[in-house]
Amino acid sequence: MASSRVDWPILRGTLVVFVLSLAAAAGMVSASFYFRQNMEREYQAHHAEFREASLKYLAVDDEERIIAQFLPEFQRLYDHGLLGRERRLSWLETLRRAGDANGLPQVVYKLDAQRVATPDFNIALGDFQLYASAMTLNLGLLHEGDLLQILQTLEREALGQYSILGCQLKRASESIDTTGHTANLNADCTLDWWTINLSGERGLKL
Amino acid sequence: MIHSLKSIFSSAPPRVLLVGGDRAILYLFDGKQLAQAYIFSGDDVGYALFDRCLAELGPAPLCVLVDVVEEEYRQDTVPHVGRSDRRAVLARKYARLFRGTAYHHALAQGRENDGRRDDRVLLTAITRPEVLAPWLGPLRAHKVPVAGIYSLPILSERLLKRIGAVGPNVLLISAQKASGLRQSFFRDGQLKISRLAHMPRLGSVPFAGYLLGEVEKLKRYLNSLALVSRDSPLSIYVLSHGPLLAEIEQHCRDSDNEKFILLDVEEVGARVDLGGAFGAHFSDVVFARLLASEVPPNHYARAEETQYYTLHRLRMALATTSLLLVLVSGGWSGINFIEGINFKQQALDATQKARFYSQRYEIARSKLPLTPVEPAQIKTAVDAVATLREYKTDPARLFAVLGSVLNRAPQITLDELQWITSADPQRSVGPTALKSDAASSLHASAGEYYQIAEFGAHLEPFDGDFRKAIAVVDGLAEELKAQVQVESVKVLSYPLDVRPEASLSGSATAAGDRVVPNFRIRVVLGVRDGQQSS
Repeated sequence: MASSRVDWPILRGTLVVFVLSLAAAAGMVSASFYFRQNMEREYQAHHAEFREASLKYLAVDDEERIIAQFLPEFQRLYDHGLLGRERRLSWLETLRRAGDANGLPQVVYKLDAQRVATPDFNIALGDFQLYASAMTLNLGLLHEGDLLQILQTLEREALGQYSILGCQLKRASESIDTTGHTANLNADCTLDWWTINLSGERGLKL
Repeated sequence: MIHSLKSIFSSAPPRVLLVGGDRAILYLFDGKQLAQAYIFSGDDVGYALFDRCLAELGPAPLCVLVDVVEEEYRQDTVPHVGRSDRRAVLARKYARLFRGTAYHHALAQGRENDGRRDDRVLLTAITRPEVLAPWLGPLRAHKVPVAGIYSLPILSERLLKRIGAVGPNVLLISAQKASGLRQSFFRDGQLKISRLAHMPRLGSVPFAGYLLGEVEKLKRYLNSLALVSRDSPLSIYVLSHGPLLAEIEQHCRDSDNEKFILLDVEEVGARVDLGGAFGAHFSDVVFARLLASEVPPNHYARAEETQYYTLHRLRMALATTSLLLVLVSGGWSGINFIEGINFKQQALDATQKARFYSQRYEIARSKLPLTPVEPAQIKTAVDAVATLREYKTDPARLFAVLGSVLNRAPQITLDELQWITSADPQRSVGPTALKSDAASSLHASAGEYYQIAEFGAHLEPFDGDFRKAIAVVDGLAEELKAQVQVESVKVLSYPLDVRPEASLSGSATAAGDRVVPNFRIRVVLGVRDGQQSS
């Protein structure tokens, strides 16, 4: 039926009813949908609170066990500089002592600013962050055993935990000096001093 | 608006206007009952009354049922073709057979048994449109939704089943007040021919004799056209009522060739769901009810004549859609609302439970010692330190491996050594390699970590025998490979580069330049969980 032949007055009332119904239907559906979504979101939030609270309550026994089992070790790691703030003074003092004790002709260090570390291995940190300070050592060695001695002293006595990223050893001269006054080997090593701490301003304090 | 909706959703049967030669009757039904019948004469007075009646009744769906002498029937065949071609073929047939009328119709009646199996059709037409025009004009003027214009003889086909007329040769005879005596012949249930005769005033002539005379005329006509099947008798169904029916019964005699079945119009009315007694021997109302009870597809009406019926159906569709929209959206909204309330109730419940457990937790927690962080985080920190220790590396292990091998080869003097740790065993060792923080794209997992070293050395003393020198280097490489923890060993350069692509120069005499037999080897040590902490 061509639109020009349509007797619009006949359809007017029904069309008005149709448009009103359409608007009412759209209004009802969207309003009820919005209401339902809001209520569902509210429920999800409160349910999550409930789950968290109930899990925490159920975990009290676990917490008691964890405290008994791990808090002493946690305290010890904090005291040894692996947790909390880093102990640079301890590292440098230990380094000086080790150099003197081993009679090394040359111990030069460079310590970079602390940074947030992203290691190339998997580590679960929870609320904590891993920090690292890179230390570059330039050592004059009488023999390669001196390097191991220094590293062992740092491991044993310095407050903190390091990992060596790499070392380069070179013969200092063609002939070997057995007097102990000049270095036979030059070693350039890069270490990362690691500490685990709460991120940002919070900082771990015991 | 409510009135409008009521009228739209009203399921009342449509009105029927039965148009005869000299009058028309408008039937109004109330459910199955005949509510009212208005008779209009086919003159100016009748037309004026009809117009006034329509104005007073208001527009409602209406069917026009036509029973006039000016209706022709032609049996024909048309090629079995598609719809549009068929329409064109029929248009040509109409133009040839029924010139000057737009009211024509084709009734499909099966296909020919032989030849190209053309379609058999019964072509019908109202040859004088003028008989309809005075009635259709007011309908259009009053915007009455006309569902269609229907032929009474064609409609009669639907009556056959209702009255049990299922034989191969059926002659249906009925008297209409609006038109006259209608005789329609059906072969195998399909209308073949129909004839409308004048109906004498009752009592003026013996009706039974007149009727049988008319039957005789039609029989002769049927025989001339050879339409009657010779295998079965002609079943003559006569619709009448009361004394007239009794009179006919006295004169009708069954024979081998014909069999009379006399039916009371009221009884036939009951079979077409027509309620109440109407006490007349005319069948008009029966056909009107038959049409109103189930409106068939239009026979004769043109598009402009059913325009308001199309609009009426559009209104119905819109109104139905509106109602469905409101109902469905209302239902859906109700479900959403109920679910929302349920969620709200559950949220309140969850809040109460959360508060309860929080209080219990605080009570229980107060009995535990204070910790700087959550207890779970204490364990995390301790485990993280363990992981750091697991991946801590130093060169002691490499020195041990190298020392044990080189001690057995005093002619080899170490010149320099580069050593790095990485998750990537292919990582190159060089000045740029000494950078921290995942310089490699690989990520260590399951404790797999590597120490990679490249060292330069030379042979001393050296007697100039490069073959022997190369053998010493290869022997050193083999010894390194044999060490536990050594993943791979590669000789990067030999004392003499004998590769075809390398340039080579020197003195080939024993007293030539002194040559230093340097070489370079790359060693990769695999480190597994716990092995590196020595």
